[in-house]
Amino acid sequence: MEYVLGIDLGTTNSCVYYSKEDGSLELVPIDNKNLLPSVVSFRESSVLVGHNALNQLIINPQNTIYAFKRLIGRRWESSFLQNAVKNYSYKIIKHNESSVRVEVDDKLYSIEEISALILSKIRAEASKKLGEDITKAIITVPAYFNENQRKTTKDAGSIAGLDVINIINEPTAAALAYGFKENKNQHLLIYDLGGGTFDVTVLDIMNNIFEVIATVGDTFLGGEDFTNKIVTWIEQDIIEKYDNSFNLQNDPIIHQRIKSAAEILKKDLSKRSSGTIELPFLFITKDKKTINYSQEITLELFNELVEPLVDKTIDLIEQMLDYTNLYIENIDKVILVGGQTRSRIVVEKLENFFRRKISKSINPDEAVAIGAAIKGRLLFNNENDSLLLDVISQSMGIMVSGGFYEKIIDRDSVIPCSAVKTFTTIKDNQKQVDINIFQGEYLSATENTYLGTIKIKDIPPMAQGEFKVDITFLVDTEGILTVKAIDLNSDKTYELVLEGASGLTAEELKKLSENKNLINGYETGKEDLYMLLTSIKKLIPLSQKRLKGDKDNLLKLNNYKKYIALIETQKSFNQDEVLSFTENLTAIEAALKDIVNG
Amino acid sequence: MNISINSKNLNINITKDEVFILNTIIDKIDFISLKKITSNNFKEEELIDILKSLYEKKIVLIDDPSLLKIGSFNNNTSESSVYLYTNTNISEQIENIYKKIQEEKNYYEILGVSPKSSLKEIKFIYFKLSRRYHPDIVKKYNLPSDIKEQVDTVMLKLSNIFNILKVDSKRKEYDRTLNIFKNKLKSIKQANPHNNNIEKSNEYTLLASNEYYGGKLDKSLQLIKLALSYNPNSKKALKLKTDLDILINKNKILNNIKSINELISVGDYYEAFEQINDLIIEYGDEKRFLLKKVELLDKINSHKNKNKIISLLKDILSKDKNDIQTREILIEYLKKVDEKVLLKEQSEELLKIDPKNKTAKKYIKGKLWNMF
Repeated sequence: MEYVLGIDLGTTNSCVYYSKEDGSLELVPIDNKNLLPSVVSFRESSVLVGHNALNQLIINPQNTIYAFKRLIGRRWESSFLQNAVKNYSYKIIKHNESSVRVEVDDKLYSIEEISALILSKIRAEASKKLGEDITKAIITVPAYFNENQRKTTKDAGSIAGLDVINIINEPTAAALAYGFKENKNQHLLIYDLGGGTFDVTVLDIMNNIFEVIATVGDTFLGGEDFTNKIVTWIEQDIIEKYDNSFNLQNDPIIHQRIKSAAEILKKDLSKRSSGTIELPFLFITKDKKTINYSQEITLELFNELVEPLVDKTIDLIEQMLDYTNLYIENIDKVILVGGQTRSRIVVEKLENFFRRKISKSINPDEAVAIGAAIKGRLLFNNENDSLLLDVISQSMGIMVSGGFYEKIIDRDSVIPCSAVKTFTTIKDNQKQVDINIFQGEYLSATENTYLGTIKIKDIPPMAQGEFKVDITFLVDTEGILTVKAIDLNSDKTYELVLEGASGLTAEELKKLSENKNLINGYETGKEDLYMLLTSIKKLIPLSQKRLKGDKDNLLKLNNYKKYIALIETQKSFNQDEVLSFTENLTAIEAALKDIVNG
Repeated sequence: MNISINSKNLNINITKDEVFILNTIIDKIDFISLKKITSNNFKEEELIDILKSLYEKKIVLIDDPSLLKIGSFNNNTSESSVYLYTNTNISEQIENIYKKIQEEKNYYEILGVSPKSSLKEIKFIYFKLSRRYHPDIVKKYNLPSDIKEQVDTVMLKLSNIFNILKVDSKRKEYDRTLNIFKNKLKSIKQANPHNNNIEKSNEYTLLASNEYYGGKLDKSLQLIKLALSYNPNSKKALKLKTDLDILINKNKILNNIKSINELISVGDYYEAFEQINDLIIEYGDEKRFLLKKVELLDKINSHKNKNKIISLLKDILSKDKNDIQTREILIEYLKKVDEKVLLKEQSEELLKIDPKNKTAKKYIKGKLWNMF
């Protein structure tokens, strides 16, 4: 049987499941933990991924990349991105109007490459666990992700050497995770408040068919924003208390320390009614006073800070129920997904809105990955007749004269689907027609997300309205769009090839996918090697002390030192080298530990 | 008990007590293809019960529109709406629905439901069909590519239909267009209740015009011929026939040009040249034909055919002095074959007609530059 990984590539954490031969689902632990922090840290020539990278966040914030999923597909001018450029501790550089690069040590990385590092780690760990090279995966995305953002996620997979057989929506995956075992006809509402995005999806489950009725969301709303509310409050508090001329945001280390403390506090407050922020030696004021910051923050204060965010999610639910003609009584079950649903204020507000008790029915951190693994099973196994009918979350269309937006496929259309509309010229002898393709719901085209352009050039002189072009939109089962324009006068066909949101060209992408060394260097456990080296370097001076006078063993130790120096000077490793080095270093580490511990 | 299955019909003649035997038999069969179910010993309600029990085994659904009303007996719960529907041999089953789509049957006919069905019933049928034809499902079967293509076409069409019928406003709009056509037919029948031939002629004319606007010209022509056979003097039919003839002719020419363009694209200029000459003989020396001829002469041998090309272009221009496009072509050609005197002459001529023309200016200006 071929294994398919179900990967929830989250803003803050990622999670992986797969389906075993007997149909049961199993977690792929990464670094012996259920969740892998979606954090990547660059240090000298090596890269740390996950927990090790998370540890670097405070000591090495400029080179530690986190919450990068939120940067996918943002316009440079958007206030979101401008804020991120200001607040993120790593450097974000403009690549073009709608994409960014991350700069580390004078090197630029696309978001695909950063995501690929996480995916490579996942692939390596899964391959290790299952004892074979795993290449097939299903990756989940927020339901409200647009076409470009979906493409970016797929591209990241291919850079990491994964064959991404399907991209599915996170709330839909969660519904599968819940509904698959329930096997009951019902209406589900999935409330998915993750680290970076918010989605609500309503599904109708009937005879094992999961039909998505509607989905709304906000890709600007997530747990990160909850944390930021606390951070802003603390920074304001510090300025008021100590030094109103001090700009905290200019110091990434201080900012990151506050943020990490806020993160911990937020988690505490989901269990207790108050918590304390302790930040000793936070900074030194102008008059050389060391500030140890300590502040109690109550649940009440926290709730007050984040209430507008929660209200926004409730508004979205209301809107959706409204236009789908559903009432809260029609919803049989409300399912909470995403780490931020642990906040008590979220549950309270939802219970108030739905006028019922809402219990935790699935693991909010793992449900999405479980759903993805189930989908993988459905695609390759015959024994179950469950079927997922998903929809597109945003309308798609083109810009027409006057800058208006003409929808071609409406939101919430079941996929696969297609639609054709015929368009014509508005001027005599128009020589060129640009078909600008957008995604969104706004009347004015440019307020929507721009996806791409088809140019039809060299049109022979014709009167207004004589030139006709059929524009076909086709969305496949993964929600991926292709646009075709057929010039009805000459029967020529033009096709739009969507680029990912990072503006990586097909060529660049191919190069990255082929350049196995770059990624595999990280993937094959180079970070383990790095950790081993640091550990050994600490042990060597201690061993030296212990071995004073023991000439034979000191000679051995000297050989170890030479060997380590040799490894350290080597810039790149192939897979075999990494394996043999790791093996030898592990032996050396054990030997040194024996010496040190006597 | 008497059960006969001949090709696609199942005849059930059984007593109530024998129902379980039927169930056992059906359990042993992978699929049954059914078109029609007839029963002598059963009342309709009893038949429904049998069908229901069969349906629960997910084996049979009705594919026969005459049985649709059975569904409407049970529209209180989705599970008990009984539709018979033939089972799993996809390549065999797809044919039927694919044909309906090719014939552009209306949405309800394609789904095999009554236009009065509730959304629930439509959804039920759509789900049933999805379970059969959805890409995620058929992926597992390794279908031959031609059948896979048909299945994909069918699923796409079914989803598109569902996307319209599931939205109330869109369904109403669709029903309206369906009804307009039906009402027209009805009103024709009412207007000429006694004269059978005129009624028939008008009916066919209407059908023909419907096909005409739908772009199905061959079908339309057949129907209009039928209409004229019933009433050769029908003004409406005659008018449509004339329009059709013109359009069919036009399409023929377009197809010819298309094939010429194809020949050009593969480099078979001589064959293309033959064909364009045939076109000119058949339809006269229209400008677009002549320009195509110029293009071909140029492609075959630009310098050797110089005189022919120039005279052809001048011929076109002699018919319409103000034809800027042709004159631009001429100028570019003269530049290419380096006919300086003629080039200057024609550029100046063009500037008289179109003082701002860029092509003309380009070469006049070039001339001036050379002088200094």
